[in-house]
Amino acid sequence: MEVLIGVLLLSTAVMVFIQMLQSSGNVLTLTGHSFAANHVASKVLFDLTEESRLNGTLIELMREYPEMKARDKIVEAQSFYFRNIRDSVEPWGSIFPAKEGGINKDSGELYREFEPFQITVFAQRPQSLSSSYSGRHLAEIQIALDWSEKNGQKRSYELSSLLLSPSGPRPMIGVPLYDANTLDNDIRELFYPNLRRDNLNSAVSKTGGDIALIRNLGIVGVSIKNMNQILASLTSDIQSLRSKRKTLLQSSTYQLVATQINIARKCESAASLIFNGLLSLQKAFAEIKNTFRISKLGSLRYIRITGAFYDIVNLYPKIVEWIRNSGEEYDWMLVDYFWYIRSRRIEEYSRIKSLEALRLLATLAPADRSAYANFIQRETARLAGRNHYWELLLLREQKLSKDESLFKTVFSNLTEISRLYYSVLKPIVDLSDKIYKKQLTE
Amino acid sequence: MTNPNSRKRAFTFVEMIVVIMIVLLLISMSIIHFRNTRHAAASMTTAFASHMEARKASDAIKEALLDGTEVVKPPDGSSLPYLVVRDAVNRLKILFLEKVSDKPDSLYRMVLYTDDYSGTHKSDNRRILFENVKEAWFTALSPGIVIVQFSLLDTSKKELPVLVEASLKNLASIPNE
Repeated sequence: MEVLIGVLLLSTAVMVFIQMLQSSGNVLTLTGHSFAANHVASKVLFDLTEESRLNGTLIELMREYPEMKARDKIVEAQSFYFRNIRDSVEPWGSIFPAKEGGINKDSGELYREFEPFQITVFAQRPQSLSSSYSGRHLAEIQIALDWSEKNGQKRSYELSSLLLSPSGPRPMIGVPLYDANTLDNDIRELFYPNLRRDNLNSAVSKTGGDIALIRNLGIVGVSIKNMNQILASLTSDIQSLRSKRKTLLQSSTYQLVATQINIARKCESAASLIFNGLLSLQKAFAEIKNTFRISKLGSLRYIRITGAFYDIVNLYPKIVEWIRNSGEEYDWMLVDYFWYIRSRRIEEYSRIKSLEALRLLATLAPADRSAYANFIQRETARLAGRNHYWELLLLREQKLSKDESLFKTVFSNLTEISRLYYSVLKPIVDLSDKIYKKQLTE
Repeated sequence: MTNPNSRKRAFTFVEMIVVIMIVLLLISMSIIHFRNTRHAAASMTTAFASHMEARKASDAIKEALLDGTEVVKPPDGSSLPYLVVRDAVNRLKILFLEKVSDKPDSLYRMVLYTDDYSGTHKSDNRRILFENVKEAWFTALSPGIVIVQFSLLDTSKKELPVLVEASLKNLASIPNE
């Protein structure tokens, strides 16, 4: 009996002792490397956030460049994220990862600190949010680091985050260019200027026409009239800004930069105004196409409706023209001569705006593809070794410019704009041409 | 009366030795283990303190750059031991290392100087961000992103390298008329 109790007491004591040893070991799973791992993961997350800002489609980008996800060592420029740490070799002013930029043995303690780490980055659509709208446009990023401690124990650290990576185009509905509250009155004024005391319904019943058709024709007329007014004001602003630019060129002040950006923005607004304005007329045109008969106009003079359709035919090609103008005006800021008055932030802003304009042009006007290719080539040479985010962007852009199907996948928004431009706006223009030329009689 | 054959049973010398050996073994094992644990805990505490210092230093740099709009120096793709940024109201901010003493092996302190348009140096405009810096390099990756590589010496004179990527928040808008 005593022996049994003795054995029980002893085994309990041994178990407690073993557990104590084990638990004291568990406390030490966090080591100095864990802190460094946190720093490393934060740096990589920072890089990916910048990539998502600049490149937009992060998930596709990482699929195209497997080195962004590969399991690599951090040191000796093996990891994609640790190749531009320092400009340490001549020529100064550029980092070329093939011969510098990585954390090497010359980096001293930094090398010893980061040498044990291996990094892997995972990117996927967030499963838990897959059914929601936002989930389809987010990327779940997981940065995993693993390393071995001096005693051989394996350790790991993970950091997760959600970043923006849009999939598919954003919905575009166009911006109506009329005031719904005053629409009927505006149509009456446009089509029946002499019947001032009437509202639209009574004016149509007096002159004998189809109110639904006339209202749709009126939506087109009022929208185009308003669009022309805004365009006239934009064009006049651009003209006066261009004259001002001529004067400012003599002094080359910072005001020149503001003027230039303003010109480019106004050109961009003009393109966007026409595109969105025409797009907003989709519904009205669908009904006009099905119901248009001259007999349904009553005594409304045909000349009153044709102006808007004539304008539509002329405005349509202006979309591309304004985009081209906008790209050229932004590009103007990149001319070397102005380096001392533009700031670097404005240089980057102008570069991205110019690229966006050229990308869109290449989608809408095949003749402009060479300008797009030339821009990529010129900026690649200019930024070599200077800005690796842009280097990657341009490298990818070069690849995309030669691969139409990949281009369409990556820039789904542009593909959608192109579809709307050719499949929605072009039929509107063709119909307008027929109405203007009185070819759509019955 | 006592029975001469019924002698009291006791542990033999060998048994005693074995038990004592086992107890000694357990005690020495636990002493070694706890000493290692204590040592690891102590070095962990030092490492933790050093990394906390490093974290504070990183945060100080990030905070100093927060209201910057663009890096003035170094140019993109270049590294310098100092950094100049411009903020939203066009003031220059300079981050640089200042020697603590004249000794050749002197450490540095990281100083932030904010220009106030006066064109003269004013000591009120300088702020020490952190001390015990061995070296620092600033590499501009873009007009708004800088990699700061620096090393701190902890209380045991151990060098702790830090690599931090900081962004300028660019609170200024692109000019318009």
